Amino acid sequence: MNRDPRSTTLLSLYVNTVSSSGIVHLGDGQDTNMASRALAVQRAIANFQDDEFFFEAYPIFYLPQLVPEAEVPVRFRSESPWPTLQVGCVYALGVSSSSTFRVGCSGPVQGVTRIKHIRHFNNLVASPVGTSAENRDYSS
Amino acid sequence: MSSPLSLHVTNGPVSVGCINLVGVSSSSALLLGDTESITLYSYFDTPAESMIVTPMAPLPLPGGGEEQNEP
Repeated sequence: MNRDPRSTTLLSLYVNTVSSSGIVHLGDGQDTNMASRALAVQRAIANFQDDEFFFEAYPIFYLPQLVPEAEVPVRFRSESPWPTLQVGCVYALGVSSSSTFRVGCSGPVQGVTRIKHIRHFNNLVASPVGTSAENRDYSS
Repeated sequence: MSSPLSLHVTNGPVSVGCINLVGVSSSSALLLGDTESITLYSYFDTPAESMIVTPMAPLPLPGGGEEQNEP
């Protein structure tokens, strides 16, 4: 692949928050690999007794990653007669969770995120009969 | 064997005015520039079993046994 990197002109950039391994990258780069795992537990009553959060307990965190491949060989060629990308102002509220905001050229970009959501209503009686509203403990 | 597919791309001029962005999150990317390839995966699991209605009970341990308790 012949790739002649173009330059980018940016008038102004405002990023409010960069958190959780987010990246703001000004300039060219090579390979970019991003990975993020999250076990999102919502509990009615918090339980901090012991560590019970294990990624290994949920298949979504170890299922094999399917890689899409080209069906036929492709001879790719690109050219850029206009050497500059012109961008005005950029206002971003947040860049987070292993994500990338880049102004510039880069190599292959790969990102993987795996999120498991758990809602634990441990304030209700353990009866499957009735709706959650009916099973709710209104005494407290 | 047939001849390989030939793809020739000519990048035209790019001029962007203003980008107002709330968030870039969860292994996603915003790129102002060129790249060879972008591969982004998102595994998101919120099945019905994710809603647990029980009294205080620990979440499953890595072994898969729900009755495993710490000695």
